[in-house]
Amino acid sequence: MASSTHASASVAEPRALDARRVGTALFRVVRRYPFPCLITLVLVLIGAGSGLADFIAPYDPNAINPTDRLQGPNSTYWMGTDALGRDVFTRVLYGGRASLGVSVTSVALGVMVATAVGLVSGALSGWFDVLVQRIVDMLMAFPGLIIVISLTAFFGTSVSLLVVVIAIALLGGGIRISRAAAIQVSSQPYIEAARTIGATTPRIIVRHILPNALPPIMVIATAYLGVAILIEASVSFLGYGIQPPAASWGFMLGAEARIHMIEQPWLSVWPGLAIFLTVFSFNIIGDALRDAFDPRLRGSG
Amino acid sequence: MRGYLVRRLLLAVLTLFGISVIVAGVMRTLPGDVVDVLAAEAFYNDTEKERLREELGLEDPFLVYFGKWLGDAVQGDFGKALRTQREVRADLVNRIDVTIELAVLGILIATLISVPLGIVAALRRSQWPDYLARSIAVFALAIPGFWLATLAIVFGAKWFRWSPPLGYQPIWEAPLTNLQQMWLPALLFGLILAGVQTRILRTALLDVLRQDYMLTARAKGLSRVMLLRRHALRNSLIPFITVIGVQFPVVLGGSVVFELIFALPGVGIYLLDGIANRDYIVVQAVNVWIAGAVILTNLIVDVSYGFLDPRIRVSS
Amino acid sequence: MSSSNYWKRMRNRRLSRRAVLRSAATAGVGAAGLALVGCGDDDDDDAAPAVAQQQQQQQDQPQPAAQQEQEQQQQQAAAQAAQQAEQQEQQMQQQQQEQAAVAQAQQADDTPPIGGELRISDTSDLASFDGFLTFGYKAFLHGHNCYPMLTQFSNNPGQSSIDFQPELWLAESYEQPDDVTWLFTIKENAVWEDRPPVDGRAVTAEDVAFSFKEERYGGYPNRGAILPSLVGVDATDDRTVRFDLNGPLAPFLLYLGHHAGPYVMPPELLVDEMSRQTMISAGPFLLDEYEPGSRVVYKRNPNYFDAPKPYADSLVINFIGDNSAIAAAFLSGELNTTWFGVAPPIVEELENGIPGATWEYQPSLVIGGVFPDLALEPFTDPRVRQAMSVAIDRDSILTVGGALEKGQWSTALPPLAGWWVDPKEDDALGEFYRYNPDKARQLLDAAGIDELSGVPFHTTTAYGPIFAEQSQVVQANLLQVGISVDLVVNEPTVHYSTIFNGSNTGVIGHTLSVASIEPDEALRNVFIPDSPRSPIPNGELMGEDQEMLDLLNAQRTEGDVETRRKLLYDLQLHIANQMYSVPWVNPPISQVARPELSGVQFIQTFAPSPSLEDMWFNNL
Repeated sequence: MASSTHASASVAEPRALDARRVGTALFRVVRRYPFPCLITLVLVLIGAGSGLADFIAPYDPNAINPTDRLQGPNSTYWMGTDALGRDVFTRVLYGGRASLGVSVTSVALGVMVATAVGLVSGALSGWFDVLVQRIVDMLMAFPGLIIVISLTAFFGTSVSLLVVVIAIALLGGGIRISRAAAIQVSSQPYIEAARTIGATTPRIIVRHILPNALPPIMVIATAYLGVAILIEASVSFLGYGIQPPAASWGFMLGAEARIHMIEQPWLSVWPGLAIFLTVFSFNIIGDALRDAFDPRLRGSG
Repeated sequence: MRGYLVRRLLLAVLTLFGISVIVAGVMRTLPGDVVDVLAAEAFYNDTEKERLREELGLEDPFLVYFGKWLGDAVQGDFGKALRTQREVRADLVNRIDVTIELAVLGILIATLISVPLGIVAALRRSQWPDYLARSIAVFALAIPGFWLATLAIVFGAKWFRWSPPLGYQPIWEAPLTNLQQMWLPALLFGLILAGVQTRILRTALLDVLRQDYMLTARAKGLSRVMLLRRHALRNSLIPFITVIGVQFPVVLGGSVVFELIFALPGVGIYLLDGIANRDYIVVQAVNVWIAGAVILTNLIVDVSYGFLDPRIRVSS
Repeated sequence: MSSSNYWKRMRNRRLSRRAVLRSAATAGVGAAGLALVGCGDDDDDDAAPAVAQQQQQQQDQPQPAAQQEQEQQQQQAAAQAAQQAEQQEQQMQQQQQEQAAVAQAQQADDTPPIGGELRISDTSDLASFDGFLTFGYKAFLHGHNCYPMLTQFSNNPGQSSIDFQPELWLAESYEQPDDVTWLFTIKENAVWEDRPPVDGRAVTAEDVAFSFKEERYGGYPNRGAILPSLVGVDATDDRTVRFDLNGPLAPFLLYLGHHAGPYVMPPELLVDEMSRQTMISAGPFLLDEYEPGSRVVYKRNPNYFDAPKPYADSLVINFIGDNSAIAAAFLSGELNTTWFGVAPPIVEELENGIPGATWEYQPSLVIGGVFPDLALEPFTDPRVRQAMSVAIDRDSILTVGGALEKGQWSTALPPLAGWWVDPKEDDALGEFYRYNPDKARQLLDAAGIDELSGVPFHTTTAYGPIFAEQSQVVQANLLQVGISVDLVVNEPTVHYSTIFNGSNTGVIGHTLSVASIEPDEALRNVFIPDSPRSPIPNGELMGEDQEMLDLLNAQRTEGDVETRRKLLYDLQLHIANQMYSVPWVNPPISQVARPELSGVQFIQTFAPSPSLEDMWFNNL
């Protein structure tokens, strides 16, 4: 009995040490960047609320209850109810899942493709680079919102399509940034050195250029997360976004809430606040990331 | 310089051509067409629909259709809208006024907001004015434009019993009415756009302030104000102009929601209606115009670098 | 694109055809000649020539017994129809007397002041000003300001917007020498606007005849309710126009003023497609300015034949697509009245917002419902369709629309006064419509259905956000009885070209179809197996239901009002039993007017349309 406790204590000790070390590091980070840390916490809360909506949400997001329709915020329905008597709080949670989901997947897809194309194009130059440049020109000549509306209006609306289309809208800028990074890195002496010792181009791209081009790409990706959420919201407002009964923040700000705008403004205030907080957070974190990656620019938001 | 311009213009034409092909191609492969829309208004039977499709050129093979369109388009004739049979060019010209006015006023107001904010933030870096300015900037970045516009128009009407006069009037015909109609959308639009501008201006100023020549100038005994005016602002103009160039397509796209909410008959609404009515001719014309406007703006921005900073020599 | 297009060629073709018509008329062949020309048309409802030929045959040849019988029936129907028409006529004359009295009283006391700018809104721009090409409420909203009709729907203070009574408009008087002939005299002081190409000439009987011929034989898709009965229309002198019908038509006067029917347009306007871009007025307002995408501005017509109307100096129809913007513009006084694109919840908000504002709810006359594909298993079984009907909680649909007390439940008919039977009050009919999930379960069990899933259920944003919300209620209701449907929300274009016209098979569609002012029109639109306006997918399967088709024919030719009412009740019951479509609710359409506006009366056509010439400002 005693030995077993002793054993467990001895095992626990290094863990405690680790935790303490992590704790101090965390404390230092928090003290140094209090605001970004607070914002990260907010974002984590929003993300967790959306991700765990199944467990947290007090009601079924699609359960219709006409007798309780259009109630103001109260103790039963914390954020009130909509025209179908659905709980707005529940729908904000589930809506976050849709909005964040679309935003994160479309940015992941867009940035991944953009990085691959941009790095190769920057590293290779030649005809491939010229071709990519022209395509980027064309993409950049269209406002993102216009691309998304044109395509979703014609192809019909589904979540996967929306993701792809938003990704396409983000592609142009992403390629440009990663290509610029690749060109900058390519001209460094150590790449020359790698070439002279016989490293292949794919190897150079993956081992040398990619890691060095990653910071600016991460920064732009964070900013794009916010952009994607705003695009999703605008598209929903114009009637081409995520379809009911599924909730998304953009949809909740759309036509159905807007006809109640005068007397029941809370219907659109909550999802509006959610969008605002999330995009705000993504931008602050993007700034902080840039500071961290590039000490020269520290504090130059 | 001339060689450079020619090369850029050729590239622009190439890009526009590519865009026209893609837009026309996508339009043609999609389900539903304008005849379905007309039929919903008037209950055509199948024979009538077929006849109408033929007359409108919807049954032509793609190359014939596109060739015809391109042939007319290079002569400045964008054809007649399929649904209304009105000249697209005339309609577009009328609507461009609205969108351009909204864009220009928006960018102007954004500049009025972002320049003081950016300067204060850069000069008082990491102090409370900086934090305040940056917060305002991110705040503006994070608000959905259409939401802000809806709140403004609804609560403006509810609390002050005021909303912009209906029926857009061009500024040279009825300047007073025009400004009554435009100030609110332009102000909100400018507020939204000011976010990005402030951030970029601040970064650019900080970059410049760090340069060696600034130290030299300071050592020379130039006052802070002179320093800012002579060197810093001028040198940070380039990234700022760039940002306006980058923002231009965003402005064109973003104006759609302001046009919709403030009932302004601009290009964005024209495109939305064109899409809803499956009016290929309208959609193509608008897309080509938007793309052309964006490309031209970028060109102007690039050329203006040479004037702003003699060090940038454009090689032909 | 080159400008050679369909309509221009149609017009050229028609010009030559008109020459034929004119020569035919002068040759004295009249109706028969018209009918023969009509044969060349490919209209789907071309009963006219056959009847005309039949009438000719009558005089020449001995007839088979069956045909004689048919003829007898026809004569009977004619007599009854004449009776009905007489009733209507009396009613109309009485009403006109009353109206005259009201007008006199007004004149004596206070004639409404003339002046002010009347500002209203519509949700979108119009495709064309051409009275022949536009169909739907826009024809009424714009065409009605400039192009007169022989009759219109009366619009007396306090009258319901769905109580359709004909009154003379461009016509000064009429007579009916026999059942199939009508003679109209048009008002002497009716003149076209003073600008080229008409330069203020008088409106002639030839203009009226031209418009009807153009509409009937011009190859236009716009099929007014009166046209199938028309075999001839001719100007007998400058002010008299003669209509020849292929049989008695009781609601003739009503159909003459039908919103989809031909507007009287000057023939000169059709040259070079002018009619698409402009209107030349003989009506209450003159087209002043058209700003595409923004608004249409009209000014008062000082030479209007019904002077001193209109009372407003000018009329502005703004295009505002956004609901919040419409509400804001109304609150701030930029709009004087709203009726379309404004949902009941907003109306409630507006009435709270403006003291003294007048508002009104009127039942809508659209035919709406849930339309399963008749060939889609298991919806082939009437019991499954019945189960869907009783599974739907119609009152909660109305609640969600914000209009529980003011809305009605549809049967096969929309709530047309006098013909529609309220299922809430009639038990035999109510059984098919009252919310009863247990019964729905029993019906499904009887049909051998345990659970259904994955059926596509198509709705749309075409009718505003509330409609799509109500579709979600239907979805939830169906889920309760074990029918799980996948909601698909279509944008308007897709909706109109698929669900709206019943061409999308394999799905359940949810739609509002065209509004009707007559039970015959309403039923023919939806339940005639080959109707192009029916939202029922695979509707031709209804062709096997001979009983229903017989009833449909019987009520159409029945002249006696009481007998017809009985037939229509049987028909409602029969269709409820078959449940070809699961009818829905008729949410009220709401109208609000600001306190400064008086004389606000609405007429329901496709959508409620305000009678713009009757409105006046009381603070001038």
